[in-house]
Amino acid sequence: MLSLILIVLASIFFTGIIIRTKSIASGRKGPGILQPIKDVIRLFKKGAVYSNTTSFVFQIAPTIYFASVVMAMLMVPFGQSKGLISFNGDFIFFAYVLALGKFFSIIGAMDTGSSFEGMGASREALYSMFAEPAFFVLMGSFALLTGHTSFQEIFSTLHIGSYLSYALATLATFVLVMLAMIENSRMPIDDPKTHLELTMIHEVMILDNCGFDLGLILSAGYIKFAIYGALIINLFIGMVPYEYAIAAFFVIQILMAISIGLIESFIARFRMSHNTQFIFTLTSVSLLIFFGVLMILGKIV
Amino acid sequence: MPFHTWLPYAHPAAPAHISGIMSGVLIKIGIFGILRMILLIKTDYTTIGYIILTLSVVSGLYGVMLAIMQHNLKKLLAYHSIENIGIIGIGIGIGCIGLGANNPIVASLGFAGALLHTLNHALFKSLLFYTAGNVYQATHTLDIEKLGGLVKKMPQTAILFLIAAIAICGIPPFNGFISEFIIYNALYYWTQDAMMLSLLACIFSVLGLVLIGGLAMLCFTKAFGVVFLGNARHEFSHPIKEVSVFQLLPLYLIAFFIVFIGLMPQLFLNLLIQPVSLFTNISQVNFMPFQGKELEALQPISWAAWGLIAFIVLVLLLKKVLAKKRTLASDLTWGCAYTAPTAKMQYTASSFVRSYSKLFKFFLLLPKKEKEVQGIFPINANYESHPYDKIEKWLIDKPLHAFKSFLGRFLFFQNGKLQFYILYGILFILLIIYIPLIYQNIIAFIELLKQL
Repeated sequence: MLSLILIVLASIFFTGIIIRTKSIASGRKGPGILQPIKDVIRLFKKGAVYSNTTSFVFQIAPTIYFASVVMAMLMVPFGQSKGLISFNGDFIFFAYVLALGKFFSIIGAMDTGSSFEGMGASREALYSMFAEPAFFVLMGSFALLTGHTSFQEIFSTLHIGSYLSYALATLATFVLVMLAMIENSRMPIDDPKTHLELTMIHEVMILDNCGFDLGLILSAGYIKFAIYGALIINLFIGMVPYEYAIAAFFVIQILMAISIGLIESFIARFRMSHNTQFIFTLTSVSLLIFFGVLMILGKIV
Repeated sequence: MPFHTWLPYAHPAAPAHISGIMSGVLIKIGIFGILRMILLIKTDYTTIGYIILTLSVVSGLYGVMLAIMQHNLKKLLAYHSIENIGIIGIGIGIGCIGLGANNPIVASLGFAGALLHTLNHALFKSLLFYTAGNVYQATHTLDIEKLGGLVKKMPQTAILFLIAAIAICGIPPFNGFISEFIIYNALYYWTQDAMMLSLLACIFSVLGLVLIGGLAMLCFTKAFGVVFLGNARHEFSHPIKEVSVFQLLPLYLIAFFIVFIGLMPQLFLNLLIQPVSLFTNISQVNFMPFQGKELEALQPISWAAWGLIAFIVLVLLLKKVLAKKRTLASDLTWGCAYTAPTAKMQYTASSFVRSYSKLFKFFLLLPKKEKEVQGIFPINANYESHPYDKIEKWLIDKPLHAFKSFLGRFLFFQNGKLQFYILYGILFILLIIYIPLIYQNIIAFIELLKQL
């Protein structure tokens, strides 16, 4: 329950901080931190224009996408306190329910019959396919290390004791940050603020969405960021008492938002054709974590 | 795995209802055979398990890799059968390894996942074939590059195909997820007391299973998106309409079971106890599966699935209420202010998977014919590609070709002249008579030499 409130709070300001950081870095005045949320509320109040080509799939796709992200949010724990839904192997459900959302956002884009949106859909399908193994190997290694298979038990028994486990936590943080960037289609993979449809992934998929639907998609994106931030924080706060943990939660979320803003300000997007190689590198980093776990457990002979 | 090549030819040739039975029942006979043999032979289960596991991961991955490239809807589904048999095989392999390691939990989870996936595959694959049959009946073609926009003409078929497609990708809240979840659970229980080498096998089967899931998603978003969504890519001379209610009724029954297993997995788990305990009791351990902690997760999964559906309905209702107050309009698809889009400008199936096919070039065989655009006023240009199977080429076609050309050297025997054939007959009789005689003489000669 605690994690739910915290993630919702974090998702309200997270994207605003990214945008604010970017505007400061480029010397602009920029909008306030709450602007993205205001945008979403404005969108909820608007009517909609639907393409003649679309069918019911286009109508329900944003809803299912949003619902899947909310469902994933309910599963994230916070330190000792469980998420609303918690069971053995819930991280498998977590990944697959996000896949449900992706499935629908892809076919929703295909429904418009637009060549741009087909392009975005094709890229999204390919990249999410490559990103998933990294998450599974990462969580699998932690399951092996702690002997548990649910988010809450894994994170609450994850002791950071030796130097090796510090290294592992750092690598895991790297993998999770990059996964968050891929899932949210942010900078090194995809540029949300580009002016050319040919170079987008996620933004080009939602070209035809507007009004309530677009609001749902945007807010799902904000929540996704906060979910991954919460997962990263969970790596470190296993046994810490709540008063420090909650403070740490907000500090780390803000730091992550600022660093994403800085990355987006100073790094160019990767070449589209090389993205897949980069994403697959994450899997090898997670394999590194797996071997680190084997070393800790003394199973390497 | 190398023996898969007949399937993609058999399915498109068979009528849809036969294809459904073929993938639902016929190819499961192989699985039944493997399971039956495991019960019969009492031997080193660990080795068998590793062999099955390796073959299954490879065939699962290879099946789905080829499936993505297919343009023929039924051929695509046929390659997916190979992939799903791979997933079932992964379950059986883990089960055998669990038996070998005397770990009844792993064994029961592995076999349970395999058996449940067998049932699930029978359900969603036959539903997919039946809906493909509906598409064929309505349009008279299975070439997905010619289809498109069918969701408006055949909405019920589209929904049924969508349900089956989500189920086959192993996405909750449908049945495919349940069996894959059980197999994942088996893998994670296996890691707990495994050592180096088996851990490597384990992590690579996890990687394989995840990649299979991701590739299946790529494949079915392509299939559903191109066949049912967007604009029609081809003008048909006959009207396209939904098939009759009686044709759809059995399909709804299958879809009901797909949803039912997804939402109420515990019921089916109880049915699985008996067949699975058959396997776990091989090694003289009296173990009743699923009594312990290992699968109590299925209860919250079904709650979560219900919750997901309830939440989706809630948001849809909210949207409907809000939409009443707003103005809704409909217009052309946004084409960057280009106002005369044609259906030809849509993303096709080949373009949807183009970056994939470039990436996996090494594993695929994609002969293509093309004539490029040239000059300022280009004349007709074309591009054609026919996906083919590398393993089929090197393991089936080439040896068969070599064998054929070797046998071709003896073609002169069959020259069609009756006299020659009679001569062959006489020669054969003479040989039968004289070879034993000559043989006897040789023996006698050798005896003679020995005596000297």
